[in-house]
Amino acid sequence: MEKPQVFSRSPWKLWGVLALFFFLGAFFFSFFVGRFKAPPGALLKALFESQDLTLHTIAKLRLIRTLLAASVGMALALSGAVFQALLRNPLAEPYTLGVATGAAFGATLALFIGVTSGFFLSLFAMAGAGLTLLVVIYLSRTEAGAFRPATLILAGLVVSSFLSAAISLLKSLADESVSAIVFWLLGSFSGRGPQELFFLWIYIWPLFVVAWYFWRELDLLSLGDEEAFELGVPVTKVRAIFTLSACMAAAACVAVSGVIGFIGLIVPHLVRLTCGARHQFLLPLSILLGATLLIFSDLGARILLPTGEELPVGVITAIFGAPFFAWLLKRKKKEIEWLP
Amino acid sequence: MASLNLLTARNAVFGYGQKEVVRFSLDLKAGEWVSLLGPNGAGKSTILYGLVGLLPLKAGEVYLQGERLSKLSPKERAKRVALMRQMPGISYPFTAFEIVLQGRYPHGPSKADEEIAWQALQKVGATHLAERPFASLSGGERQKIWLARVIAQQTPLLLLDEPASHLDPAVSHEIYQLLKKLCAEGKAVLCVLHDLVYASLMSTRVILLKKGQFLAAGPPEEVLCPELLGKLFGVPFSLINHPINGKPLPFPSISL
Repeated sequence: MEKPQVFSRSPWKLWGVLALFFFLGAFFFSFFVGRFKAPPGALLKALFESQDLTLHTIAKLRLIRTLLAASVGMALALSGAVFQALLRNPLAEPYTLGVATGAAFGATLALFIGVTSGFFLSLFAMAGAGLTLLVVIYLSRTEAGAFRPATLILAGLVVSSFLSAAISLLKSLADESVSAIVFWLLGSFSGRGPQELFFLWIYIWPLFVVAWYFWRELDLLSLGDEEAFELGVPVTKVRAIFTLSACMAAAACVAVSGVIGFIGLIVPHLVRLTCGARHQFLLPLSILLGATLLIFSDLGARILLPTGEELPVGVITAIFGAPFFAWLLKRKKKEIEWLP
Repeated sequence: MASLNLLTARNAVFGYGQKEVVRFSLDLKAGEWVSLLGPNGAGKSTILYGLVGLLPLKAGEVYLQGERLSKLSPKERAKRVALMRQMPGISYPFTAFEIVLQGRYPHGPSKADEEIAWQALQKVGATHLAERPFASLSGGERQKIWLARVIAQQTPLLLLDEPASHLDPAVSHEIYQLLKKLCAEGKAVLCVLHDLVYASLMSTRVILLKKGQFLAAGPPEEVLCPELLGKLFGVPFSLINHPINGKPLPFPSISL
């Protein structure tokens, strides 16, 4: 028998090109399509010229919004793939450790006390996420200073439940800001500007760098800490670097766009179904697919309602994501025989 | 040239938390197979886990190929010693070949990795499984793949924790044959066993371990005697001799 190339089972190169093609397609589509109709050429030109101020502003806003959706999609999908490996749990997602609920609590608190500026809202959300992560880590740390995946998930769950209750409490105490809170909790890219994009990238770039350098370690960690250690992986260090950078990325996503579910959970699974579990291919393809899906979801959020109002993007990802994933589970039984 | 000790332990102590579980001294050279025998909880696996750095060395000294264990970086250690034990449950669709390829991790990524992993698969006769998802393999097939992963790691010292438990006699035999071949090619093996028959057939030396201390150590013909085994396990033993090679085959002489 011929020696297999590691990727011969799945034509990952073909999938890679397809994913890139769809990502670029989604990007331009999202830039050119919207409630305000304008010829693509004029819109593109308006990006660099400010003669027609309305068109210039619309082009700039669309570009930033599309970049933001792409960045959040990339970061959520990447941190989903990372958490599924680190916690050795196919149901893990960027929000498993409670960072999303922490961020949501921070933002809810901000809205409750009357903060409406997007930038300060993001800061509150980031602080909430950071504090939550500290509490979760404190609760799940063993005497030896190590983390066990199961205790991390449990601690995340406990803290999350507590904060969810606190959010509900704030919602019922708030009168006029309740709709703002609800809209924010469901996730949206509406009204975000360049400072949010800048803020987001400050917090998500470390995850991309870490993933670039340590994908081999993720392969080994997804089999078990001890197995990875026996092969020479500095487990505690690598695990800490990944946990921190992935939590920071997830928290920043929630801080700028609210809670957007499903992307971090289903994207890595979709990629595994086509290209296997090797993180060398899983991570870049998840990044591209996550960005593509979130760009399309945001486009849907912008244009689906005939009344011209916007839907929260989290509603779109859940409404389309959940049935699609359910269909996949039923349809692809054979391909997912590896699920425990 | 006197061959270098692949493993040297001097009054080494391993344990969990504050507790000292096992204290031992041992020299291991290329081509040697040393079996660790003893009741559950005697500290057999503790020795193996300690030697791969999963447990801290509480006292004494351990050297791998002449280098102090505590001075070795994780990757350097993993180039010198490999541990084969019960496989973990794997939640993701890695293929058998990808699992074997992971054994190359300590050597860093290189162009030769795939070739070496493929040769390891050939060695265990499992190339036909290369593209199958690991999770879909039978127990015996998985054990072979895991062995190929350890072979791909290319360490001179192999630590085996019950390498053929839960396998049927034919597959067990196949696994032991492969291991014997590796040992004959110059690897040193330290193996935790409950199977006294294979302990007798495979070992150049046997160590009886009771409550963290050596009860006896020596060639199987001397150590696997009814008196010592009776003392070790607390049940009476008898011996018969292997019909082909005459080696002692101990068994508990109890009627059920």
